[in-house]
Amino acid sequence: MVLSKKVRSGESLGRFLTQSKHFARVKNEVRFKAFMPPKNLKLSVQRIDELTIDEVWVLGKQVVSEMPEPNPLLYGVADIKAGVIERVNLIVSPDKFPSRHANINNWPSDIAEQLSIALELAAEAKLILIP
Amino acid sequence: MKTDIRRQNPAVYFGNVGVSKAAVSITANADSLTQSFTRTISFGSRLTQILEALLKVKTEYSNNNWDGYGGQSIDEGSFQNAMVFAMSFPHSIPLPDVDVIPTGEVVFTWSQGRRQTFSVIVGNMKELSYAGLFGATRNYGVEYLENQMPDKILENIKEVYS
Repeated sequence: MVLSKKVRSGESLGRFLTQSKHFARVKNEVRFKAFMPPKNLKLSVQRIDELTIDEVWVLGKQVVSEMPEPNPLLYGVADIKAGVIERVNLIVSPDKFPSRHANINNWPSDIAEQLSIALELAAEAKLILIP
Repeated sequence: MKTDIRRQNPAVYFGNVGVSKAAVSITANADSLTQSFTRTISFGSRLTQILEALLKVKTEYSNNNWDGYGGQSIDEGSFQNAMVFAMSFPHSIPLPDVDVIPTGEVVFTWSQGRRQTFSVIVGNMKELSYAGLFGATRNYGVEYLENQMPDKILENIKEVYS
């Protein structure tokens, strides 16, 4: 499948969960921490639309293996629609094809506002844990 | 008569700025009383729980890149301020979850569900950056660390459990 240059509002984006504190298993919830941006204000996600769940895990394992040592564990993925990202005035900037990687940009510099947005994104995201 | 629930935390000493011999003596006695009180079973246990949680995250987040995404190690200034902030928690509010965010600051969260939640990030300049999500309503702002928990933060915590 060829990915469009622009990310559509209905497209699913996956934030791979690499820490047990990124989610609450019993409550079946993604925690806001999974969506708090790093210092460079580029939150890394993958375009996972039209992938089977097995393909999502293959992609997730590849992403984790390319992270700096020590490689974290892969616990699951927070699945969120691009439209939700746009609604809170953030911008999804995809890498060039064939990469599925994209950054969520346009974060405010105010950390309280970042936190407020991360709470909203976590509330809207769907938690899928690796079997 | 309204009771200020912050006063339910006797570990919070409302500072004495006097410099006379008497003032110094009062401060020393107040410190001693505070220490005795925090050793009592009910209050001490609660304080111990939150301080232990803080020490646990300090160990857990002592290295950079703890999440694979470049998460920063715990900020020492934020940690110290978080200890002071934790001492200001009134006895009447539930203890929060303690964690560290990717930029290394300590965060406290009181939550009753994904849309009934409130968090405070403790900065190394004594700033308390907070945000809450209550149904469809979001709010956020900044307060500063004082001897007592700022009203705005207390109101939001109460909202989580209302």
